[in-house]
Amino acid sequence: MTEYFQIPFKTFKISLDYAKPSQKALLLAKKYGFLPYMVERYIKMLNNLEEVEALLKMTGQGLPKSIRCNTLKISCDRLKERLERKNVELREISWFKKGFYVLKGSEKIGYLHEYLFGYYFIQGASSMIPPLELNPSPTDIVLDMCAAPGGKTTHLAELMGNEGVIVAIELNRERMKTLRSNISRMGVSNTILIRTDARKISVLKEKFSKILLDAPCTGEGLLPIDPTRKTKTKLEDLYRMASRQIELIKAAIEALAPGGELVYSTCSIAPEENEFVINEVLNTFDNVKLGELSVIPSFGVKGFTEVFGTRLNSDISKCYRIFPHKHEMEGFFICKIVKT
Amino acid sequence: MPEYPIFVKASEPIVKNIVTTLSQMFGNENVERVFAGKTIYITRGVERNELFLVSANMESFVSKYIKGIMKKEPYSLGLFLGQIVKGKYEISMDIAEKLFIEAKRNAIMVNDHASALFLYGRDIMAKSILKVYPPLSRIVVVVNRFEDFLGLCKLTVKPKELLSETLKGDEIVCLNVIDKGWFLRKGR
Repeated sequence: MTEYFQIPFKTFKISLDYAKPSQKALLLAKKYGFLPYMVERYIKMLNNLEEVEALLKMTGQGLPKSIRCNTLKISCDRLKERLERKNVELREISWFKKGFYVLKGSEKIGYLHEYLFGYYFIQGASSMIPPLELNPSPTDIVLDMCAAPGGKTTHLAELMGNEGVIVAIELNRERMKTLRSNISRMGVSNTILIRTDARKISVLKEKFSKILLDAPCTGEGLLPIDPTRKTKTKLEDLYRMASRQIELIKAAIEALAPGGELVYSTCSIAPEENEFVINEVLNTFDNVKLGELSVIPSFGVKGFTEVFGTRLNSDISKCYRIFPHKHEMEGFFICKIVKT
Repeated sequence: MPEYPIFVKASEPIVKNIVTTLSQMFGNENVERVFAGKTIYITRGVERNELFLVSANMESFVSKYIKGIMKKEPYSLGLFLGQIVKGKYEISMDIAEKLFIEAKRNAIMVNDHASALFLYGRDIMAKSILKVYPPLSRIVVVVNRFEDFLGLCKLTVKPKELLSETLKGDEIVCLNVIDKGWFLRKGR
């Protein structure tokens, strides 16, 4: 394969041959309408053809909608009771008592009065995990680096009881408007919104006790709800995204106070945007280590420590993944970095 | 005129104007409780002067780091209090909801039908009012029978007339100022 784009990983070698599609990958790619390089990676990553087909088959099939109850405004029992009276059937998410799958009535969940009143936020179940893992307290100074539309920002605010400070950054003007609207709807009052490139936050050295970096990504974990992802991302796009993620995570580490914690997450299942990024960070900084996660280990899959013929730092097994075909949630990756 | 607003501490007359207006609506002790230890900021340099209630921690962070080191202005911060339009303070839903929860005054409760219509921007008719939370100002909070905050409306009749039998049932008694349907119509 011709290498006509820059590999952002400077501290370890990878050969792009891993993405060269085999005959099997070509056949499956044709059958399911994927770019062949993607399927080849899934074959190597999952090492089980049945699983690969299960993942490919899930594309576009949808996932159950989920909501997060906003206890800044209402108790979850009261919300459940009110929604059930409107024929919305909910099932509590097993690992999070404030999260609910919407089993019936999902078509109207974005229009109900309770939505307008800010009693819940509609978000994927996977997206509820990063704030729980960061677990900020009311005294923390928290940075949310790519904040819009605000699902995780408002979740952080709720965990902090609307106390402390959250600095929420968003670059895009329209997305910033949505973020502000959601902050207002959910009754959040402890945020400072800043419209800027999140990479510029590195000038605020060691100012944050907790940082959430839910990084922009290719969205390869969203295949079940967005079939356009089957052909949207070329290999060079994937590496371009990884390059941006490395810049963002480096800026985050600069801004993190000693002893502080950074949760890195993406809605991608691509190792290039996840384990490779973390490996690069561990190789670059001698003042960081990976921390233990507390929510996701009970159901997630450990991060890869060897993938696509590349051996990675063994600590990356402390990071966790969600696979759509295994967990019935958007694909996700989560890792905690602690600054020493 | 610059593209971005500059956040500055509101001047004494502006603070007094806001606190007086809110105290008249929700009672001085409730306003004092919600505003305790906080500072009012106002945006300058743009057409609309927006107002925000900011905690001491946030104020210090903005001043030292956001303005001081990053040389940036926030997009928004703390609790949105409303705006000054042509020298007049316009209250936001954010602070009105918070103060209603504290004060339980200056509000009207409306029936289910009127609640639904109000959230579509419609006005309130006399026959829709189930309960009044006195004392009332000119601008009052509208709640449904669960006391969910629906928005704000402007009375077209004197407060004491509201529940009197002299008003015709279909008569509009309160004009929609803003309602939570905004989050669907414009806020997305």
